[in-house]
Amino acid sequence: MFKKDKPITLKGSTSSLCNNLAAYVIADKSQLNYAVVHKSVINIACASADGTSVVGRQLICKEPSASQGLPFVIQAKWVNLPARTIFVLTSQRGIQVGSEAGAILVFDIPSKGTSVNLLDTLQKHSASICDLASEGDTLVSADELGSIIVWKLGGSSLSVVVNIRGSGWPCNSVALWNDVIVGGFASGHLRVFSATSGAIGAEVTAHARTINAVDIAKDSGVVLSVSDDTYLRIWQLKAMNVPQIEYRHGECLADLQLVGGQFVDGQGKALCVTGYDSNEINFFVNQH
Amino acid sequence: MSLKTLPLLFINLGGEMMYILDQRLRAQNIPTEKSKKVLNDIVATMFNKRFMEELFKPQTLYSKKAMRTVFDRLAHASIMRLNAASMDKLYDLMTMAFKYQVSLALRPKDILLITLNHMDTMRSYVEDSAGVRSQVEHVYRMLAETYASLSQGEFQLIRQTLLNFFQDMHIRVSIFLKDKVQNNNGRFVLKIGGTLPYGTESPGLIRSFDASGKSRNIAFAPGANYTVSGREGSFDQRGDRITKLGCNMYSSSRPVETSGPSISKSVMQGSDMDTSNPDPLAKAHLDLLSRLIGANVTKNEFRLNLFKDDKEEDEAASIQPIEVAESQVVNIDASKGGKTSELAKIMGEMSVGDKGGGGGDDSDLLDLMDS
Repeated sequence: MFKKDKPITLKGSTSSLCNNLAAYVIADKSQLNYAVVHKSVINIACASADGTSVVGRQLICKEPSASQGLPFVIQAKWVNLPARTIFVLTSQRGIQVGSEAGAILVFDIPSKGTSVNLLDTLQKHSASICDLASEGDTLVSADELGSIIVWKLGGSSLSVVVNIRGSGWPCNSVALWNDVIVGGFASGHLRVFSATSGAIGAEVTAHARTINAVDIAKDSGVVLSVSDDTYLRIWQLKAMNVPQIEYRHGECLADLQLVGGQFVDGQGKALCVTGYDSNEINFFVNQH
Repeated sequence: MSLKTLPLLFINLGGEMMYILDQRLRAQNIPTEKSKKVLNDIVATMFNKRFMEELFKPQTLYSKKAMRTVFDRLAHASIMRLNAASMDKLYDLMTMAFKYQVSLALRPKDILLITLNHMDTMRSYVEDSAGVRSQVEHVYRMLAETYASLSQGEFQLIRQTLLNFFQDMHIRVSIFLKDKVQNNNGRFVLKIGGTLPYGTESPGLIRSFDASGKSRNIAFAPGANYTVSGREGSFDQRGDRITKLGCNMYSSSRPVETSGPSISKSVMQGSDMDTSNPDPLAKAHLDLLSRLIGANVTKNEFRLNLFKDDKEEDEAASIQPIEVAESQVVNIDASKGGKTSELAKIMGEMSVGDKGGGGGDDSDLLDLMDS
């Protein structure tokens, strides 16, 4: 079963934000990168695969007109595009990929250079966007009222395929794997949907407080959910006609409200989590 | 970050301040009449209509420094004086108490119930004074208008904004340590199990649906025992808030700890760059607040002590915390006016009241507020 591994200590503590841990693995360089938001600073740790060397650095979000202090960062994420991987930040006053007004902004990222252009603004959500996930030509967006929209890319524009109405509790984190959507809700529920039909496969009373992050290991369909209730839980997806989910394992991190969590490998054998007000990234490794 | 957080932060910190002052006024055997005047004056200033209207406008939170200065002014809105060491201790106790309440709130909307618990006690302090009571009642209405209809998501954002304001503050508080709700490293104990947030279900069940929508339940062991919450707290002007968070935790049998350095700071050297610039809004509010408080009240002044005796207070004052972010905070004895340059930077051109206008008469403060 899962065993706690050596943590990485960051230069600053973790802010209370959903999905506040991004991991990016560069396999051919045997390098792992982690990013965690601390107010207007992003603490980045670059570790070698064997964990022997960890280099920390800080990225400070500044603005030329700093009359009102520094803008808080809302999200930091690595985005893998076919030609390159980019590190995207969204802040209080800056680029917002999913915005507070419920719009999704689509950007054209060139394979080289910095000429990023706003391509499209998708306005279908009636509340603030909480999280986005994508797989192939499918995009999933989740909002503050718990609604989930599935989009498909046709040519150069995205169109709505499925609209799943929420119950009023925010869907804080959403993940997509083999046409299966997993949403983590502020009510503590995990919900599993088919991305094609929008049909619900399972509803799980998973946590005792808000779920702040979910992730799916892309080679195995193992699911990670983390919550304010100090628990991380491991699940297994079954990609059937109507997708199903099974419970595997739970770990409690004493007195830590977990706000970020991601698998480190494709199989879901190693994972990392962060908690509010702590400056450590905690690791767990499955022994067999 | 939510732009609707400032009123909640201010009212709850203010509520905690009143609890501590109330308890210390009793413990120091201050005559009832004087104590009443102090509580009355401070509540009246805090809930001044114009000041509240400014506070309720959508805006970012003050920097930590500016917030501290506001409460420094507020604590000196009456005939009571606190020296720097006592003020430091008061502010630390207030902030850690509210950080505890926000951290332990079952769901984000409980922060409104916590606020109402503070409001309820503050209203009881001014029950005899019709003028101040109506000010307090006005704030109840403002709270209802602004917050009662907010979605779970908006409250979640408010809670995150508050938690990030308190991030890296790990001051140990003896009443929390004694109750075993805080660890020695300054972190709060988060018990697993117990009552669930209102409107949520007990963990441990998978409802599996088939193609026809029929469901089948599969249980799993969640690792703790949970109780479903039966009733939602009342958001009315009077009612059962259900949650005990935000109620007065001090009493004669559970006093504000005064012996020794009950507080030990271990504030992480954070990158708190939000303190780099004095925000113009906070400055404007401070300005307004100081005009409301008016001239220094000199007659009948007395000094309140957050320590057992003067000796301990002096000792506390002489201990300089190491590597503490808060040590940059200026300690202000408001009765001396804004002497330090740091303070001047925050307060700007703020004048410490129209010196000729105020005397020591009881009615003066209220008069000033009405004008």
